[in-house]
Amino acid sequence: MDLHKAWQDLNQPEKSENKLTKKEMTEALYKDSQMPLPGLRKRLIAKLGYLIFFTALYAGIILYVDQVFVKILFSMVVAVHAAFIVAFLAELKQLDNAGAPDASLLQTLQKYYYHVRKILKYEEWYGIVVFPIIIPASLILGQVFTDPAAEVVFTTKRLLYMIFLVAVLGPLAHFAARKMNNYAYGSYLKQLRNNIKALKS
Amino acid sequence: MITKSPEDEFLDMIQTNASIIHKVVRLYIDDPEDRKDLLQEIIGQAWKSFSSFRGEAKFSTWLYRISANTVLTYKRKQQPVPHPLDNKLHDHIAASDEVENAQAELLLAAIKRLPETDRLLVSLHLDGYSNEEVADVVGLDKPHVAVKLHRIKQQLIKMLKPHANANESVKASTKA
Repeated sequence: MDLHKAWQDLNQPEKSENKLTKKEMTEALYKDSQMPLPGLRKRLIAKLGYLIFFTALYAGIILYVDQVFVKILFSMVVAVHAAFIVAFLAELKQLDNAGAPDASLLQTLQKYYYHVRKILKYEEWYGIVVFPIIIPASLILGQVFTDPAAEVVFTTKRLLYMIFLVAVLGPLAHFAARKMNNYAYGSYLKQLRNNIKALKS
Repeated sequence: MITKSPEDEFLDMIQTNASIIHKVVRLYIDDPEDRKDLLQEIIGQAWKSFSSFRGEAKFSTWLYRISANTVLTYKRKQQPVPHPLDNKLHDHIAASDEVENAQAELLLAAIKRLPETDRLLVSLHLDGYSNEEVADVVGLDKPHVAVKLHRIKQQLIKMLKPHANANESVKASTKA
């Protein structure tokens, strides 16, 4: 078989299936992209909004609630949120400067793999870093709101309860985020990884 | 004189080179509806970066690059694993009315059984791009591309060899 000749037969326009109409082509110019990176970018912006909202709320709690443990713990959460906000902003900037869609295939595959993985990692790490602080902070805050005059007392039972929540919920949140990300992007990341490996081999 | 809008100019260029996009999509996607979605995605991606197209490369090469990048980074549905090039495929080709197309279909079926990145390399090669141009599109160096293409062609020949005689018989029976 003459490979080149056989291949040219596939080029004949009348044999191209599923031709797009002029209307469909024009629509395609302004259609929302279904590519993973723009989708993850939107998700990152939503998360940034969430972080900014809760950082403002926690800052308000620090100013409003006159309880030292609440102030310390919520200050820690605000500091962690600030770090995540900076990281998310830097990631957004990197995504916007990540290069045109007409870069080489290897560069494009590597860019997608790097950014998709990084954005998913941020989500996984948020749970494990923030939950151990936010859980005791919320418990103490609840107590302060229920009985503002009472002193916060850490009984053994209460401490054990907090440790249990932190020890269980922190890793559980991390595990759940990993599972969800793996479900949504696991096979996609594998596809990218395999193609990078195959191209380099 | 009526001057064309950039949009119309772009769509004209796309229509002239439509076979590139169709071919690349065909190498990776079987479902007709998914193909249409991906064709539109490629056109959208190309339009977004059309302003950066400076004509240093041919428009067809540029479009090939965008098509390949989009298809291989698109979150595709899991495609069914193609069964080996066996008699079933040959029977299907024998049933085809168009004998000339039979060889093309057989070749396409064989290429679709290659690893994803190899499909693109061989498609560029068969479309007449030099090793240097292929290297530029995929981001590898020229000797690496030459080695890979040699390996891919060997694989294709091995896959197509058992069907060579069968294909001749299809031709003969149709002529008769």
